Order: sequence, then structure tokens, then C-alpha cells
Amino acid sequence: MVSLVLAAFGLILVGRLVHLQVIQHDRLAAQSDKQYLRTVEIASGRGNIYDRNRNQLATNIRVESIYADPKSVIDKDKTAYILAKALEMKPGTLLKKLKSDRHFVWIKRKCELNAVEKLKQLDLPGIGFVAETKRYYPKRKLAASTLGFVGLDNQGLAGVEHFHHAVLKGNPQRSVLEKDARGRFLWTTAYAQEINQGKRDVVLTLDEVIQFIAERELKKQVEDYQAKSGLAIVMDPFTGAIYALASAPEFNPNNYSSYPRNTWRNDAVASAYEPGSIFKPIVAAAVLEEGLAGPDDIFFCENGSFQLGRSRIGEAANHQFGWLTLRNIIAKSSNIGAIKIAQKLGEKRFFAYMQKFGFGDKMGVDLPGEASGSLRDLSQWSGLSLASMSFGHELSVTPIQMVSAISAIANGGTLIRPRMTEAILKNGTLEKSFEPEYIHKVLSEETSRQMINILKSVVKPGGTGVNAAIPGFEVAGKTGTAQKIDPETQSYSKTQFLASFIGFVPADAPRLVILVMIDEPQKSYWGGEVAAPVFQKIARKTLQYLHIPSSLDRVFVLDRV
Amino acid sequence: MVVLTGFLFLACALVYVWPNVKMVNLAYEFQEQKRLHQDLIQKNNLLKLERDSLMSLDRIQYLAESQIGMKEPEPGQVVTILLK
Repeated sequence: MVSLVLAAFGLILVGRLVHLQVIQHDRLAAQSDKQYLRTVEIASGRGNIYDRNRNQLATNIRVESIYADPKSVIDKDKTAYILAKALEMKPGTLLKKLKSDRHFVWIKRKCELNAVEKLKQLDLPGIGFVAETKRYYPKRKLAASTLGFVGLDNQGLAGVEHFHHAVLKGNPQRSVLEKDARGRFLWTTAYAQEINQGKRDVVLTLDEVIQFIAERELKKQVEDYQAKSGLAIVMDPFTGAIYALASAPEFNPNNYSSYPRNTWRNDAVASAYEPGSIFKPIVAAAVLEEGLAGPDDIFFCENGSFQLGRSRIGEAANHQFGWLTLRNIIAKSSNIGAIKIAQKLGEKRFFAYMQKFGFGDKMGVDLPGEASGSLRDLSQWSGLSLASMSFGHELSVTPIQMVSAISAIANGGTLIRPRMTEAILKNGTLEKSFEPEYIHKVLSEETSRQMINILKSVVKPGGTGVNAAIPGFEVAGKTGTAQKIDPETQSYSKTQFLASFIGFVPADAPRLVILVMIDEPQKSYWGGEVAAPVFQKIARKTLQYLHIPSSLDRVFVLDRV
Repeated sequence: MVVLTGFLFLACALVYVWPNVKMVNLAYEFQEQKRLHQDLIQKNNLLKLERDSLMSLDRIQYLAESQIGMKEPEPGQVVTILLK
């Protein structure tokens, strides 16, 4: 009898085991997995941004965000008061959040760590903390308009942050981790290996030191002349690598919302201006390339007054030039001389050269919001268009287009695409590098050499750009003083000007092309007086930094030990 | 015999369970070390950021000019040394 009972009990036990281990195996195994396995998202963090020497320009810092479960908050008034005191917020705003019907409300995102530590010690019911990362720009205002900034959820909103958002944002990975009865994770080697496997950094062509020099000199001049704004670009004419892109006034991307919106804008690529006289080298280069004139051919400059249809065109500062060589037309910046050169060229050829130099179209620089400028189609030209465009009116160009065009003159005649990105790094090692991109040949070597010699004369005594001269270096360049359109009268203003200087150095083996534009300077408005000295200072200090000796420097060549 | 079998069974059970217990303990230890590692990396990053901020060029320029009395060299005062 006992044996039968035991046998029956044994059978029931075996039956139950079969039921649990075989029939219900999948369901129970899934239930068990659910209890001790958890899928977590591993964020690798937003990638860093470096300058060309791997100096950190943008990185992340760990911060914490505070949230509340209003249903679990016991004393809402007291909690609101404590939070308000610790986080320097209004108690009323916090109380409103704590009285919400929802189960989750943000109290404050991305807080200071010491404020969070204090609150953690208080262990307030219903208040929780989430670890997050915050974008941090250690060099503060440096290159702010180029770097841009990110939003609260680390989405790139402007500049490089926006342009390379897809690269920088990283790819969060999901991983399954074991946890114990108390919910603590059991870290495994496999998990440890997965961390930071998707992080990509961006290396720019920007050079921190050159950027600093450009910003400092530009800011000084903008303040001295009480100008509305200013910009400076420093580029390598052979590779298109942009070393500096400075704007004034500037902003701090760590705290961008407290600066006016217009300071966020990167005018070097996003704005187009009537270039004025810095455009004259384009018409001169075209006429030389076509063989229609030589540097020493002479043109009659009408003694300072030229009647074209019903319009009378004069010279800047009421100059009265008679006969001038092509070289002197550029050196003395004669408007009438530029018209005469353009007339020799003709509308069709002038238009074709402007297009070849890249005007009227985007340069394809790797920054967001690039403008294309405005170059009207030949069919829309008036009887005055050829004349106006020859000295940089009736068209608009972006500063980056202007720098690219002058680079083509400086580098032997090749239009090159300006670029801001040097490389992409994956987990600290090179993933992709960006090579110089040659667009097309615009001028022959011979024309380029002739133009360099002509532009050198601008900076020599008698030229308009003597303030750009650097002792011990040959400098080539061109001044510009463009009248701005008065929005009220819709005609050229007599008080608002854009002073500019564009040039390259050393003239015969150029390493740097530099453009300086100062918008609405007050004490003087001539490009040669306001912008050329900034060019001179940026160029001199940058050449020194790049160890390019002047003819005045003592140079020692030593053997390596 | 029964006692011996019991001890043998217990020994086998311990041999089976012990590595699992050890593994869990090591996982906790690893977790603690990992947390410590992360904290040290974070501290290191903050120190690097502080260093970068202190090395910002406008600060260095200001300190060099105002506190040490340095000034930029005039043309002709610069000696360039190039290595072959």
C-alpha cells in the first residue's frame, strides 16, 4: 500500500516536472529572463571637435538632470521650496510642476554637479536623477561662429555641430545585461568592450593659434572704429584649408542663448555683399588671360568723370586720373579704368569669367547655410551692368567665394574648394581624411604670375594698400571700399561703407590668403585705412607662427644631433 | 553509507555552486572597479578641461603682457632656427 502511494506520488512529481520543464519551458524561461535580464542603451557620447593640431575645441562633460514623479512627492510645498533654493529657480514654477497629474516631469536639465550632490543627500521622495552629457567648449568664444552649438538634447543646431551632426552624434548601442535580485547590474567583460565603440570625432583644418590671432586683431579694429561687425578669413591657397574664420562681435557657445541671434551667424559663408574694388582683380585677370591687354597697356581714365548713357561715373575720393597702365588702374583702384578694361573684355566673356571664378554659385564649403551670392544672368543685364560689375557693384559675393577666387590667382590659376574638415576619427584613429579638391583651371600660370606682380604694386608706395605691407615680405592684395545700399532710400549710402582688404603672402610663394571685411566703420571708411592694417597684423603674426622667416629675420640652419 | 553518500552529494553540490557564487562576486567586484574607473576617467577629463581652459590663448596673452611684462618682438628681433 505504502509502495503504491509512493509510486503515485513519484508519478505526480515526474508529471509536474515534465509540465514545468518541457511543456511550459519556453514561457517560464522567458519570464525568468525578464526578471534578471535588462536591455540598456549604451550612449557613446557626442564626438569631440579638434583643430588641425588636435587641440580640443568641443567636448562633453557629465552632468545630471533632475526629474520628479509628482504622485510620489509627499510634501509638495516643502519639496518645491528646497528645490528652488538649491537650483536657484522660482518656487512657484516648481510647485506647478509638482502638482502635475503626470508620472514624470523634468525639474531641471543638465544641472551643476554640486547642486545635484546636495539634493541627493537630502533624498527627497519622488525626486530622481538621470546622468546626461552636456556639450562644452573649453576655448569659450574662440571660433564660435564656425563651431556652432547644440540644443538641450545634444542636436547640432549651427556651424560644424550642425553640418557634421550625423557623424558626431554617435550611434547608441543596445546591450543585454544581467541584474541581481536588488536590480544591480552584473557587469561582464563583453559589456565593457562595447562601451565607446561608436564614437566619431571631427578634426578641422582650423588652427587654434591662427584663429586666435585673427579674432584678436579683428575685434580690436572693430572696436576702435566702432564698426557694426567684421570678419576675417585665413586660407591656404593651394589646399583650400581654412585656418581661421573670425567674426566680430562674437558669442560664447556654452551660453549662446544669452547673446543676440545675429552674433550666431557665420557671415563668411552665409552672407553675401557687394564686394566693391576687391573685385577689380577679377576683370583684370580675365583681360590678361584673353590676351586683350598687357599689364603695361594704357587706358584713358577720363580725368575722373565718365559719362555712360545718363549716368556719370566718378572715382573714389574725387581722384582725376588721366592715362593709367592696367597695373596702375589696379594699384590706384580706378573705377573708370576698371570699366575700360571690362569694355575691352565684353559682357559675354566677363560673365563667363565671373562664373569660372565661382561667383553666383555655392563653393560647396563644408559648413551649413552657405549662400550663393547673386550674379544676374546675362539676359538681365542693363546698359550699366558691365561697368558697375567691373568695380564690384550690381552683384553680391560671399566672403568665402572672394577668398577662393583670389586663391586661384595666387596659386597659379586653379580654383580650389575651400574646406573646413581635415579628417574624421573613429575611436581616436583615422577613419576618413579629406584631400584638397581642385575644381577647375581658371587662369594660366603666366596670367597668374602677371596678376601677382600687379597686385604687389597695390601694397607698394603709391598704391592704395600700403598699410598692408609687411617689412621683409612681398605682399600682394587689393583694397575695397564699397558703398552699402541704404534700405530707406534704396540707393547707395553716403555714410555706410564696407571696408575690405584681400591679399596673399609671401606674394611669390603664397602660404596664406587673407580677407578682412569691416562693416560700417565710423572714423574712416577706406579699406586701405581700416581693413589693410588688420590684414598686415594677422599676416605678420601668422607667418611668424608658421616659422616662415622674413628677409629681415636671422635664419640659422642647424644639423640635427 | 547514507551519511557518506550525503557528504558526497553535498560536496558535488558545492563544487557545482561555488564557481557560480564566485562569478557573481567577481561581477560585483568588476562593477565596483568599473565605477571607480569611470569616476577616475571623469576626474581626468575635468582636469584636462581645466588645463585647456587655463591654456586658452587670450588668458596666456593677458598674463604674458600684464603680469610678466612680455611684448611681441619687433621685425628683426626674431631668430629663426631651422633643423636639417
